[in-house]
Amino acid sequence: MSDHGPDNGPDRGVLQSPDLTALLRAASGGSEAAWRQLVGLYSRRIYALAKSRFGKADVAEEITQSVFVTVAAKLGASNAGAPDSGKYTESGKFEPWLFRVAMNRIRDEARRARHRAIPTDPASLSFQARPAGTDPAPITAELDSLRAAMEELSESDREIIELRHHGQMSFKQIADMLDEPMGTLLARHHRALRKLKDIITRATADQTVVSPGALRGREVV
Amino acid sequence: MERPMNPTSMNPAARHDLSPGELDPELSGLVAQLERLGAADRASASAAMEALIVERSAPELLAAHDHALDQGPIVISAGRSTRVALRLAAAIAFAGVSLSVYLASLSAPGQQVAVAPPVSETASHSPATHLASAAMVRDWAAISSLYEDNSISSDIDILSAEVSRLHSSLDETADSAASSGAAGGAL
Repeated sequence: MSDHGPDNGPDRGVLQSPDLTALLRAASGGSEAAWRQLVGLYSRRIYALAKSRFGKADVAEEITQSVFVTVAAKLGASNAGAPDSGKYTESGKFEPWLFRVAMNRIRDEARRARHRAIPTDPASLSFQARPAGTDPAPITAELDSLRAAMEELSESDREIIELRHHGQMSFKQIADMLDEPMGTLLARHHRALRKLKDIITRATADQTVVSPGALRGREVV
Repeated sequence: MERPMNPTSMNPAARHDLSPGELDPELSGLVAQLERLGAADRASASAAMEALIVERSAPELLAAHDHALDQGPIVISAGRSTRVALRLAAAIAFAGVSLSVYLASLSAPGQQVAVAPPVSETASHSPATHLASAAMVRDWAAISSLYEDNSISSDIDILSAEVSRLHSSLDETADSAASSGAAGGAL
C-alpha cells in the first residue's frame, strides 16, 4: 500500500459529499479555515484508531499529527507550483487515502514499539487518570474488557473493526482502502465480530470459574 | 437483555451500509459496545490537539520540515521571533530528529542559526513531540514534568537542554536583531 497521495482515478462508487469536495478544494487553495475544518472532521477519528491500537494518548496524538502533516503537504503540493495549482480534485479517494496513511503510520509505530519493547504503562490503559468531567463517554469495565479482547484478535481482524467502529468508515471506503471486494470485506467483518465475541465469552467464563461473584452485574455480550 | 442496535444510531458514514455482522442479532450487543468504545476514544482526544495540528501544519513549518529532511542545511535568522524559532524546533522534534544536531550558534545578535539535516527519520518518539509542544507555548512546568518522568528516554535531556538554550538565547537576541536580512534560505 502506498500513501503517496489520493489518486484522482475513476470513481468506484463512493458517495461523496459536495461539501467535502469544496472543503478539499478550499484547503488546497490555502484557506486556513477550510484546513481547520478538515482537521476538525477527521482528527478525532484518526486519533481513535491509534488510541485503540496503542492505548496511549501521546502516541495517538503523535500519529494523528503526523498524518495531518502528510495531508497538508499533499494538499499544499497541489497548490504550490503545480499545473493544477489550487485545484485539488476530489473524486472519492480522499477518505480511503487518509485512513490508509493513518493505518500505515500505525503499523510503523507498532513495528517500532516491538523493537523498543517499552513496558506498557498501566495508567495509560486504565483511563482513570483523566480528570472527572472531561470524558463525555464514560469508560466502563465492560469497555475495558472489550479493549482487552481486541488485543487478542489478529492484526487484520482488528484493523477492520477499528476502521469501522473507531474510524467511522463505511464498508465501501474500507473496501477501497484495503482493495478488497465488498463481499469479502463484509464476510471478514462478520467473522471478526464472531471471533471477538468468542474471546469475550471465553474470558468471561474463565473469570466466572475463578471468581463466581466477580462479574455480577456486568453485561455479558 | 441486549439492546437491539438501531441502525440510525450508527455513525453517519456507516449507517447506510450495515454488514451482515451488524445485522446479526447475536452480535448486536457487541456492535453497540464497539460503537461506544469508538466514541469514547474519539472523545478522549485532548482539546488542544486540533489546534496543535493546525499550527504544526503551517506552510512555513512544512517548508522547513521538507527542507530539513530533503535538502540539508537551511538557516533561520536569530532575529526572528522566539515563537517562529520554537515552532521550527517543534517541527524538527516532531519529525523525529534530535534538536542537539540542529542548533548551532545562537549567541550573537543577528547571527544565523544553522539547521542541519536529520540524523534519522526513525527516531521519532512521543516525549519529543510533547516536549516540542510544551516549548512552543513555553510551558516550562510541562517540560520539567517530562524531564522528571523516569519513563522517558534520555533524549529528552538533550532536547530539554537545547530547547532551554534556544529559548534563552533567542530572548536575548530577538529585540536587537528585529530586522534581519538573512540571505537565501532564511525563513
